[in-house]
Amino acid sequence: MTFTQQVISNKLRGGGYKSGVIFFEYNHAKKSFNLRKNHTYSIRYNFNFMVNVQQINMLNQLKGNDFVLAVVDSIGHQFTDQYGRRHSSAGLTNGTGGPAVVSYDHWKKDRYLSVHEFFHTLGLRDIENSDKNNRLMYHLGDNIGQVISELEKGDMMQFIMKNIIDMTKNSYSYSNANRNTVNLLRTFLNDKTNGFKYNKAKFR
Amino acid sequence: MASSTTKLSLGSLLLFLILACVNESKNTESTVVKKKSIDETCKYYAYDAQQIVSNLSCYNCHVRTDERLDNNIPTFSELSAMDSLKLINYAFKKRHKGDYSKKGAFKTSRMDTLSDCEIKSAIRYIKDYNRNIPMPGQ
Repeated sequence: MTFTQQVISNKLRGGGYKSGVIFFEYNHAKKSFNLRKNHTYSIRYNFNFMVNVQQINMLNQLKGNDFVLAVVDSIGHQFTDQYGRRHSSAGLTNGTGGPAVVSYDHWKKDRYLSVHEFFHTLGLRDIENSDKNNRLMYHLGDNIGQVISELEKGDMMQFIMKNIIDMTKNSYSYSNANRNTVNLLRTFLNDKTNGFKYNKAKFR
Repeated sequence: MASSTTKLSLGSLLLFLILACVNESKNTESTVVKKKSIDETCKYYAYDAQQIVSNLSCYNCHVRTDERLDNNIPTFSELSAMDSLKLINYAFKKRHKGDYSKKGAFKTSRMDTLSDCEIKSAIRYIKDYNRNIPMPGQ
C-alpha cells in the first residue's frame, strides 16, 4: 500500500498542462465567461495532491470523496485486445470515477496494477498500441515502463475540475461528499458479467 | 425466314441477359469488397478515440457532472444518451455552427474534417460513457 501511495503521489505531482483547449472567452472586467464567444487557451493546472491509501475493515468507513480499490479472490471477466487476442482481467474499473477491483494474486505479483486501475477512475483509458508499452495505461502485460503523458495529465486535471466556470465562483470545493461510493461498489461487485469471486462476509 | 429471325432475336436476348447477369454479379462483388475494406480499415481503439474527444475539448462544455454548464449545453452523459445518427448529424456537425469546419474558428481541432472512421470512433467513445464499460488491467 505504501508503494501504491508513493507512485500515485509521484504521478500526480506537478499538476498538468494542456494546450489548444477550446472554451468560452473570459472577460477579466466582469470576471466571468462569455458563453457567446469562444476562445482557445493553454491551461496550466497547479494542483497539489495529497494521497492517503488506507485499508478499511467495514464498507461504512467509505466516504463520498473516497476512491475505492477492492481486492477480490478472482475475476472471471475477459477482454479481447485490438489485435484480436483474448486476455483475462487482473483488475477492472467501473468507468470513469467508479470503484476499482483487483484480484489478490495479480495484485501481489504486479505492483503497478492498483495504480493502473486508480488512474482509470481519473478518466484515463487503456492503451494497446505496442509502441506505447512504456506507459502506465498500457495494459497488455509486457510493459517496459509506467509513464503518464502530459496530455493524459491534462485530461486527468480536467476531469477533476469538471466545470471550468466553477473557478469563477468565490468559493468552490472540488469534492463529492454526497457520492454513494458504497452503493457504487456493491453494484459493481454484484454485476455477474464481471465474474468477481469474493468473500461476501468481508464486504459488509 | 420468319423463324430464323425469331431465333436470332432470341439469341440476342439470351446473350444480353447473360451479359446483364455477368455485369450485375461484378457490381455486387465490387460493393461487397468496398464495404469489407471500410470495415477492415476502421477499427475502434478507445485510446485514439479519447484523443479525438480530448483534442476537440468536448468535456469542457459537455461537463461530466449531472449539472449542465448552461441550459443550452447538454452534459456529456446527455450526449451519450443521444441516438448515434443524431450525434453525427446534429450535435457533431450542425450544432457547432461551423466553428470546427475547415474555415471555422477552431479549424485546427477538425470536427467537420474528421474522417468517417474517426467520427465513428468518437461516437462510439461518447456512447460508451453511459454504458459504463469496465476498463481492464492485465
